[in-house]
Amino acid sequence: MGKNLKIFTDGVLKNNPIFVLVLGMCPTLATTTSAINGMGMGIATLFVLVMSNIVISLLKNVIPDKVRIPAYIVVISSFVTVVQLLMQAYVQDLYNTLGVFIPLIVVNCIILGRAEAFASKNSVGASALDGLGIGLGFTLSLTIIGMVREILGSGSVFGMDLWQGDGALIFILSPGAFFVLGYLMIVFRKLTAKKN
Amino acid sequence: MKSSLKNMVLMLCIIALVCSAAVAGVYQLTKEPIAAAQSQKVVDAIRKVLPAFEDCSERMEVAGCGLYEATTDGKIVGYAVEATSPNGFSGNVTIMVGFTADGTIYNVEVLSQAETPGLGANMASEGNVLVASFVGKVAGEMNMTVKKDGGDVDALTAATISSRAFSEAVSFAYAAFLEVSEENSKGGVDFASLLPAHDTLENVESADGVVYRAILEGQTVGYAIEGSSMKGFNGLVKVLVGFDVDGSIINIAVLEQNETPGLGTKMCDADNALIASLKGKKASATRFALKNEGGDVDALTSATVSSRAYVEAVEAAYQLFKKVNL
Repeated sequence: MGKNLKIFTDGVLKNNPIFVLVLGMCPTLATTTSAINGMGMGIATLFVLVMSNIVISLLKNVIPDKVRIPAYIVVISSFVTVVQLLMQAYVQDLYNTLGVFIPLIVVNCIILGRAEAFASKNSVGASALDGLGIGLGFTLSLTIIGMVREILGSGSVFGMDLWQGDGALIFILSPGAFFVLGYLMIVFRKLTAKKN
Repeated sequence: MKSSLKNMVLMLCIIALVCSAAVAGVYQLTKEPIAAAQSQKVVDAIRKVLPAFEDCSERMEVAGCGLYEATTDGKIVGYAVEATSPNGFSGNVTIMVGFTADGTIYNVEVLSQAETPGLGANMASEGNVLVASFVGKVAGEMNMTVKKDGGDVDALTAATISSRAFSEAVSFAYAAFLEVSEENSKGGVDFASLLPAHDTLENVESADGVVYRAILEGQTVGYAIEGSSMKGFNGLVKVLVGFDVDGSIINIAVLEQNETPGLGTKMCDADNALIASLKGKKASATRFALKNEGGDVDALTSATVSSRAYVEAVEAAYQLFKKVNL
């Protein structure tokens, strides 16, 4: 149990995909213009990550080694398409905002990375936990970046106005994404360094 | 598993097959919710950009835009036009513009855009200056370009390109609206029944009204002239009157009316009392008034007001005829 818990917390903290592994930067920078967008992107990725980790871990013994990458990609892209269809049907506004970044989850290196580095070598349960941990780490990071950018840039959080008027627009534009990511990375390193 | 050719092909095929079956299953399940969500979005937008109405037509493709006709009891309330400009700051800007029947912009709603958040994306926020510079304006009387380009539109701060794209989309929508409303006002008029045999029909530019000149081998043989009266039972009555060059009325077609169904609307019938008492008559020798009011025209039963308006509209056309037929 202790080992499983470690797999899970490693995903959120020690192997945090954004602040430690610095993977999946494209959706991170592009979709975190508001907290809800960041969270939506995170949850979509979380779902794909958990499902593909489970399936790939189940199939790890029957997939021939030389064609494992195409096999993984087919599995991952199927789950992404499923997520895309579901979002289109039930949360269309969010789907329209995230736009092209939903299909791009297929090539998010976090997912293929976890499939290759973890799910193809570990049991189903452990892989699911790893997917959950990494996915939550990704979701939390994106939500935090989104919140900071939304507060500084639009003066609101999750769409609720904190004060009247506009914020510093630059935090909503692309440069703000780099600023916020950089400073949050410093904070994250500082906090986790103490624990270790 | 060993990477033999047989194994590799077999496994990839099985995985691809299972995955595509799963995707197809989810597609089937979500097909209806997706279609419902999308049409709901469109219907919501149409409701927002037009005054209250009962029925809405299917989407019609007009001049590259999607057009919806909104009606109440068969009367046109307005048109909602979905138009897209490809010239946004980040791609397409798609909007829904509501026109009332007289060409006034009732409201504009942004359907999709990917403009800069905080700048161009403000076009979709409540009560922004860009939308406000269109709402309530008569589309034909405004210059749909931003003030920087010499037009009447207030651009969003620091989002001139987005504002230009928005204005362009409105002008596309207006073009589609014009095409449909012109088509409706001509209402598929059968000019052959109004005019003598002719080979060309020429739209004569006239400040006083719409005049079509029928020409046969270079000779003018007749005119079709629009006349209207605002004194109908429910406002406007517009007719198109066919004259030959001697000033005889050949036939009359009703272009627009909102009269009482079953009574005043009989003016649209092919052979009604009104047409019967005017058709073939020399306009100069006709007294344009109802019989019980000292004129020569039989009124429609129980539709005296409508009949008066009809006669007034025909007379207006005759006055114009006298001006053009010199």
